[in-house]
Amino acid sequence: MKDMAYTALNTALDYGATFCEVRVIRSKRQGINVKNELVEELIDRVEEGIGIRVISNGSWGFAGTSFLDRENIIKTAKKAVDTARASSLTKKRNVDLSPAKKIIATWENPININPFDISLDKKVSLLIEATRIMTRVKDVKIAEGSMDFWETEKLFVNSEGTEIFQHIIESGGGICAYGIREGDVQRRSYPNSFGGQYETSGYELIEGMKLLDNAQRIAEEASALLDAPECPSMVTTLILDGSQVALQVHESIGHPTELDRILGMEASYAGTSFISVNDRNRLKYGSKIMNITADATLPNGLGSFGYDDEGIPAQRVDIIRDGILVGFLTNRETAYILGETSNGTCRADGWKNMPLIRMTNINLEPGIGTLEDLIKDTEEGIFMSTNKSWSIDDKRLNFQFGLEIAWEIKNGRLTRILKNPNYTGITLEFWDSLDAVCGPSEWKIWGVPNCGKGQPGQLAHVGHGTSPARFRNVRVGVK
Amino acid sequence: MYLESLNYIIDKAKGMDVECFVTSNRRILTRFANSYIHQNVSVDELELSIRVILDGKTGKVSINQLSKDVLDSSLKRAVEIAKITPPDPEYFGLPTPVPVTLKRGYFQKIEPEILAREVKEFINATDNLNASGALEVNNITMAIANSNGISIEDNLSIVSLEAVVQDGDSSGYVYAMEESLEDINFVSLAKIASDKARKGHNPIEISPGYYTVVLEPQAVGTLISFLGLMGFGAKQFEEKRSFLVGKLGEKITSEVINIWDYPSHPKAISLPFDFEGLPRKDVVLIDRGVAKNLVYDFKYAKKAGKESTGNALPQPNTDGPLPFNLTLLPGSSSLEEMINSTKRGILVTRFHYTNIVDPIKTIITGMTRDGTFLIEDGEITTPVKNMRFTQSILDALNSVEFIGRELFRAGEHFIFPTLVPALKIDRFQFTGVTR
Repeated sequence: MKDMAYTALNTALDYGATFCEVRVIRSKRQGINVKNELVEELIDRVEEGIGIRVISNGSWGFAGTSFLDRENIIKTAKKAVDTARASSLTKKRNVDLSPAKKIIATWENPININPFDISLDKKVSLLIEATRIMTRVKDVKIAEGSMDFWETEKLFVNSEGTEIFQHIIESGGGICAYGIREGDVQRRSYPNSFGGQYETSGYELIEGMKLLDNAQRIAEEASALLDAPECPSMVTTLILDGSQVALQVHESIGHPTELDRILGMEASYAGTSFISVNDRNRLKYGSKIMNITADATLPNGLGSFGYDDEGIPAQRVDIIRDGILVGFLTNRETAYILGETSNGTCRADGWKNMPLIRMTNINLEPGIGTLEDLIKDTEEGIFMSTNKSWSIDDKRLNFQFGLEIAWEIKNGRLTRILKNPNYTGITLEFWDSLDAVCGPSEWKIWGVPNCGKGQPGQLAHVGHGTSPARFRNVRVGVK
Repeated sequence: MYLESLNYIIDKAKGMDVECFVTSNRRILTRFANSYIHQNVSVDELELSIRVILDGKTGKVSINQLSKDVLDSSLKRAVEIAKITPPDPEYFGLPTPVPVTLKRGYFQKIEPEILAREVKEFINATDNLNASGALEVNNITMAIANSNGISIEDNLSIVSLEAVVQDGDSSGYVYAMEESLEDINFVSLAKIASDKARKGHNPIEISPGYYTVVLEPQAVGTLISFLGLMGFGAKQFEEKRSFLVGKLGEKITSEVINIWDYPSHPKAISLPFDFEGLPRKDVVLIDRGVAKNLVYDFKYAKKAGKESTGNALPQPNTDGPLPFNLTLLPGSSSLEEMINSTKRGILVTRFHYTNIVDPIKTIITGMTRDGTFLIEDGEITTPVKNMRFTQSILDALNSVEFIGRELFRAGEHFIFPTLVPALKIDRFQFTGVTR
């Protein structure tokens, strides 16, 4: 790997790059999808490649290839420089980078059980058994289970002398049941939707989920939803489970506080942000109990790492403190504009993409009490669980989320199940209505393995530490 | 180009059912924001998949290297996986060759400087407005071979420009996709987006509710592309997750609506075979409002006693067959006629961040973006703030009043671009408005 990296680095510099960074990546992925006791898809992917990012003529260029012979690496390094020179045809000012320390390091995430050491047979058997339990429940016509594992070896070198090797193992899995009756399909997932829970952990994550212990319950809920009344349309008190608070944080706090979006760099695709650079330390984002951190140092978070893809160490920074916006997610290019140093959020999807500002673990810091306490403390309202759909406008203000299941709250108790729940709101008003966040015992880092951004489209693995939270005067049941 | 590697694997796996395919892409994407190129990516990538089936048990591996050592070890791994995977009782074997007329498309010349010059031309033509977007060239090769004798390879260039031009609080949008860079008129597109941006200042807020809407093609593309994901596939239908369950042969939209999966349409951009190497066929999905057909891959065609329509994704997969070249057939109206005939309504340029709310009822939600205007007494009178819609697609297609006469390629699509005209829809629900 080192030979490849330094061949690329030296070629780019000799060819006229004024700055160069190289990532050589080897990765493997195993994915298992089981449906109704049959293996529907088994993914076994191994890939390697090199990504070379340079500044030449004051502009960025990037080239990547999976053909790793010396001749092709040299050709690709020159192509990166040629691409940067082409970029400079429209240059307004030179790209400047905030300073970064020279680092020589290796890092790997702690795991207990390497998931690639566990036999495929064992994994498949577990999922088959989970789907068998679920399909025994009335009206559950489809039961699915999945697992995903990634192992990534990444060597990063740059022209400032930094050399970092990282070895990261990630795991994920979950189950879901579909209750189906003519004209109605209702889904319940565990422990989360869209594949379940994901962490920078080993197979211990799968073992800890207790998928078999929860299969019957979620299947029964999927079945019960078919007979449940629709979530009524009204304005009410809303309690969200931790996994949905995670997605709410993701869409209405994580993305709008990315400084590249704020500066217009994502305008044509995912959009911009309602926040401006001048809003820092001024904008009231939400109620006083709202504290948001970006923390890539958390053990097991899906957005955790040792160093980002610019060689900046993982950090914990405040984004919102006591309801006031105090920070942005930055990289070296955007931090320079603020006269600061990067807070280490620049990452790329594999070897073939240019790194962008990506969320790390963006967390709503815990408050006090349990979910049970919170429901007891709520006279009337709705408790919603497990995301089903999401949508937010191009400035990250107007959002609407659909969830799998809801329960009506009456006099501090959960009562009847409601189907097709959803809620809508405006970001700042919604967070201002936050009046309770559950405590550390309910707090968990939810992994989001499919955060989309950029062109060409990149998927990032990010996390959100959250616990259930309560919001007042929320519009629910949009029909 | 890649068949040699694929046939090497087929030969090595003699006696087994084996299928392999390569997709490769030489790509440059030149991205601009704040009227300069800020990201510029040039990548050569490849994926080779080997699928081995032993007594109905499937093992599949994917790699991105072509050396014989890697091919040998990957085949071995696929066999090992197949040995420990439970059998699929619905395995019908691999398809046999069916004649395919190859496209043999030429490859677009791909150099960063060529793309940068075109982007510069676009930026200059916006007359100092704030231009953002991406110009992308994909030179794609797809090759498939299997142990039943399918051995096929073809290539395709896809060139696309997506751009937003901002003028303070207002923005305009353009999208173009062609097979050749020469077919994109950058100056003309810049003028269209700039003109719309200049007209969008000081938007007013109007109340959510039901409105007549005139949807420009990019907005229609979102509706039709999402409809394509929710029900035309034979697997979705079998699993009763399709909106078409119990409705095949019934009228489900206005009779002016005709939707095909239409790879042979002159404006379609497509490869002539699917991920099983079978020819892509035209399929009438909705004929004068009546739900007619589903799309099939080899397995689901066998189950239904039909022939594959050439709609296979890489096998095996969780989605089943899906339409690749959705086309809403054109009508006879112009956009001007749609606007002029509207007493009070909303003109929508495009939708943003759309997602499925209820797939059985075909309800989706999303926001308007980059040009939303109020129409009053047949004229565009004022820009309005972006609005959230929550709407059943089939209900919308049931209240279509006018269909545009020209087809456009839509930016929001699955696999290959959706072809759509503009639409005027009598009743369309907006459920919120942004600040």
